[in-house]
Amino acid sequence: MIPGDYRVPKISKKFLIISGIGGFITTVLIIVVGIFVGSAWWTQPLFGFDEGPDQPIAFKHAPHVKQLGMKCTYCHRFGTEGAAAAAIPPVEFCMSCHRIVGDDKGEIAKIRDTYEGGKPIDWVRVHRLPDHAKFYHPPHIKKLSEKNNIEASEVCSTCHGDVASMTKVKQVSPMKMGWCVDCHKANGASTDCTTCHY
Amino acid sequence: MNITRREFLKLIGGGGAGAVIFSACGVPEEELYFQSPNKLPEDQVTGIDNWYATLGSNGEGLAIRIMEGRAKKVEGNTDYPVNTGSHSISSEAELQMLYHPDRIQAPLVRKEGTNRGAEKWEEISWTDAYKRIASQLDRLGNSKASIVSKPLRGRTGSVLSAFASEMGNKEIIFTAFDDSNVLSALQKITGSSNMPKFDIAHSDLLLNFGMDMFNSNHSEAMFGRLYGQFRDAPRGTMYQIESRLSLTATNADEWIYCKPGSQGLIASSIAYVLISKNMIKTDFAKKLNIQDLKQYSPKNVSTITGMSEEKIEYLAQKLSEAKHPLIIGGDEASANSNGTSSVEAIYALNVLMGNINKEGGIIINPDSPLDDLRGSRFEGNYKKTLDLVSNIKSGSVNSLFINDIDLNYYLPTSLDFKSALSKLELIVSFNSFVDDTSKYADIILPLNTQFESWGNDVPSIGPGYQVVGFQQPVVKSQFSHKGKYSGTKDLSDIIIELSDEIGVKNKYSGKKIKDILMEDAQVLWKLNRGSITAADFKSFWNGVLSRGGWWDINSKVNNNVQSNITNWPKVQTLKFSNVSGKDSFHLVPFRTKVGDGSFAKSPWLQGLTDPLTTIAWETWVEINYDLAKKMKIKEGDIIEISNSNNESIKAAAYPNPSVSPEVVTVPVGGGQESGSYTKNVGSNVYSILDVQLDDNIGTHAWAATKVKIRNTGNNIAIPKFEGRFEELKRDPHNHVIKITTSDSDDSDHH
Amino acid sequence: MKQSKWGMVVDLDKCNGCQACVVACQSENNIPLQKKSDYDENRVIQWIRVERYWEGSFPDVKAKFIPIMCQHCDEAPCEPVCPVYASYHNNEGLNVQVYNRCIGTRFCANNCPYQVRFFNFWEAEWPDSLKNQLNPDVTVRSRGIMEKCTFCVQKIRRTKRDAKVNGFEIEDGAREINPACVNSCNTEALIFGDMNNPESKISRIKAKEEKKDGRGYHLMEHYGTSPNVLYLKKVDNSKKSHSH
Repeated sequence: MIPGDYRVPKISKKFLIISGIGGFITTVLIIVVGIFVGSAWWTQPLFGFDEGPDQPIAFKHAPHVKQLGMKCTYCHRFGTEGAAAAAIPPVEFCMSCHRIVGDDKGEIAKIRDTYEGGKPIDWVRVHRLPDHAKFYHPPHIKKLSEKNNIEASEVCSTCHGDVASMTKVKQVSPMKMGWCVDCHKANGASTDCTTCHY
Repeated sequence: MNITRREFLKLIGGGGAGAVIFSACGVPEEELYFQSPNKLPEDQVTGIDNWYATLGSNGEGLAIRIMEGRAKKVEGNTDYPVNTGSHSISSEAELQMLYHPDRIQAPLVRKEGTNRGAEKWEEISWTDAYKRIASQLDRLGNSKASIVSKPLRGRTGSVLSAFASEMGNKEIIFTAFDDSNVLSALQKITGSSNMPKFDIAHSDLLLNFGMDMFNSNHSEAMFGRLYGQFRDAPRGTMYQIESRLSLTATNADEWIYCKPGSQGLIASSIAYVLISKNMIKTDFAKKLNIQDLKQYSPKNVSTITGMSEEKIEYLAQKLSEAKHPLIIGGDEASANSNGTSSVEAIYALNVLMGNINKEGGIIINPDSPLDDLRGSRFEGNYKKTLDLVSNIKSGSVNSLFINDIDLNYYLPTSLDFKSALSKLELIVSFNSFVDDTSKYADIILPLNTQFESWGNDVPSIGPGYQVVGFQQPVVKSQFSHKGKYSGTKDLSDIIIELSDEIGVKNKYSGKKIKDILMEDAQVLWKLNRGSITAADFKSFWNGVLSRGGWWDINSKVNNNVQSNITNWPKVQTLKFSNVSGKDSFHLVPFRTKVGDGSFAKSPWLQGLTDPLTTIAWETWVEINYDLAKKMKIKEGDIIEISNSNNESIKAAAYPNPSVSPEVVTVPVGGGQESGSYTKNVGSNVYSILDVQLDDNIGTHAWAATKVKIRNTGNNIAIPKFEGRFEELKRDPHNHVIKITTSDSDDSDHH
Repeated sequence: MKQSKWGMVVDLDKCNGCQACVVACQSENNIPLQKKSDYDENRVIQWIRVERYWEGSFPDVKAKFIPIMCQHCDEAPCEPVCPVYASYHNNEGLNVQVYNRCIGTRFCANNCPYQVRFFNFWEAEWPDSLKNQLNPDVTVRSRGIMEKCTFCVQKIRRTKRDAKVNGFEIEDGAREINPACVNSCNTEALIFGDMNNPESKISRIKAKEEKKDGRGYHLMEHYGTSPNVLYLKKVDNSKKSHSH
């Protein structure tokens, strides 16, 4: 060995171990994030999506639907009445029953307070389409109920899943353009751009 | 019978599904949900949309599209007889008034220790506000209070008048473009105190002396509809005689320039030609003494009016040939010192032509079915306003209630209203916005805007039969979330509650405006005729609200109307301020898209181009193109315009081919000092108008100012639409087609 | 059901330049507020505008108005130049701008002889309270994309959908389907309708006025764009008595 020759510095074992583990974690993270973003881009996030968001009032569908047997379109009636969105009914509507029904505790107390305060509830939106995509419920409900020979209130689960058994409502369909167009093609509906975009 | 609104609607609306979909819905109160706030555009939920009928501030019947408790779109109410489905730009702009960011949200009181005009406010409750006003009035005395208001429509006006009479009848109505002298002239001519319908649609010749129908106090949409029908075959011919090429004038088949204030002379001269040449044989023509009219012979008036003798004779010829001639006048023709006499002469031509209460003529409007509710009108009292200013200065008025009228903006600088305001001990302002006057107030009581208020209206220009329009709130008051003791209220409710607190009583005491309107509706229901008849009052009330009003097309004035005039009205001589010299001009102010300035708050209307000049967001001065070249004035040069008192404003020059060399014209609406869309926009031409009154009834002669202009040498780029695109070459021979009419073959004038 | 082909007639003899159409369009279609700076920078967006032309000079002067909106040309020059097919023609005769496809090349605006395509140079801004007025049926266009008159396609869609769901026939000239400008027009100078329906008002006017001595013409016909907006010439029967 010639003096002054370059000598590879000796790497400590400790450094090797730390950087090895660090590198591994980084790689895994990149893959995980990649899968999450990719899946969310194409369809729906693969994981971390089991539950819907927390709502200001923890409304439970189960008692209303399973115990009382109410139909979706009883409360979300706008969809069948000609409005674009089935939408959450206004507080006034909840109060048509809850003025009398229910104890004065917990979530029911909350909704009564809101009603008396005259303030709207800041519901967290679960199904959100971008502004440039316009979706209208009525023609879809009509078509599917006629096609499958079912009642209008039974059509909902086709896209929204079994909401009755969800504790927090979540989105089950991807609601991407491809998903829309596939269904439109399968049912012979228009695929002209202005059907949804204007 | 219990009947829902929708069922009811189907019952009265009848017909096809389309009608049901579009016809306005009933009482929206239960459907006024205002849901979650919208932060992103996609948060806007398309709920069920409904159309509710109400009225616009200019008396148009409107249908408002409501979704999720928000007003989205204004359209004309197809049923309403005044505007039959169309609407003017100011009605659409009411949407922006409703959602305007500058709105006052609660009663405001000037912060203690701050000066007036410092705009330091404190929110107080309604009860507190009433108490403060009452205790101040106790100290100052009711008798020394005065009330000034913009012209109000329908029952709201009655409520304010009743309050004013309790306070010692000191109500003053102020409006910048006053119709008083047109009304008084028409009353003399037709014998009816209602503004008549001008049956433009069925006339074949319209001679218009200066009335700017398309920038009007009244519904522009109504005039638009009539004009559209006028142009249908058989196509009518329209002549406009005015000193400015207004939007109406440019739509006429021929615009004939006359010197400002000379329209009355021209009308009289036409009458002289008609009688002296024996062209007409109506009773009035036989009654008139030709000697009285001799002074108006074309020869005598042609120099004063600036109109050639041939032209006057030509117009007389045309009038005598027409089957349904109609002569109307107003605005600029009425805005001189001889206004009333001019307008009388103009409308007397109708008597001469014998077209009063005839098809295509002046159709008399019947009295309102509600005894104590006459037609809404744009009647102001300028003389009383001047008295008010001097009374304030002398101390005989020490407290002032101002309802939604920006006097500080509208009154000329020479009156020094601002210093008068400082002499007052109490200023209470009713307003939705802080404007140039209400910013000096001690207490501001916030008003609901048009779409949040109750009201009714007997149209200012009725359709020839009885109409009572009903106005309902189509959305919840914007600030209702602030609770019962805060937020905004209807003017009538405020007045009633306030008078209760002050301790003055009248027939409206203790009531809500809605109850008062229901009493009106009761009267109409009991008539049992007209557009809505119902077995019970509830259905009638629903019907009235869902259709936007009540009307009876059979309630026309059928009897032959006898005119009160026996002689030809004497046209008085003109008075102008003494400004002369080569650089002196006649100043003609005019209304534009922002009306008299009250709609300048709307960014839509501010950002809208003026139709003739395409200018937006600026005050401009129009000057003759060739003259400007001579005077070395380029477009965008800042011109100083000064009156005989040496008060001046600055405006950007816009030389164009339409202006007479004797005249400069400046739009109103600029130069307001408050408001996020009005501040620093243009300059205020009201401030330099002379305080010249109409000799007869004391209205403001707003077109009687003479000014000097001076080029300051500064130049700005005028914000305008014109010049944005290159104008493509036109084929002059192919642009319009000449149609052959009876008059086009007499080419003897060539 | 027969395919519709939408068209418009503009009667210039009736247009009085009142601009009700312009404001109605801004209100219906969420068009950004026109600020003073927009005028200064020549970036004003008006899907329908009323152009004014001076004729003559004082005292024989007149201003004439032409409302100009997208002509929805059958041979639209804006369509072939779009690299992403954001501008295309649909089967109802509408020239459509698909906002979510647009990448903002502005080729279409350059190729349009009518100057009716507008580019969003900035994000449209409204004060929070004014956002309450925005029409949820129409996309709020973001920065960097083109926009233009759609013949209020949202109203056409809505009415067709309602007609299908509720089973009614769409009447000719029904207000639910008319664009905002047509409903607002004070003088009824604008007429909208289905040109494939021979019974419609617009078809009757077309048949009458497109004849040799009719008043009908298309804007800049010689470009071969075959627009779907028919203009009717202004009638001028004024007699110039002071011409010598």
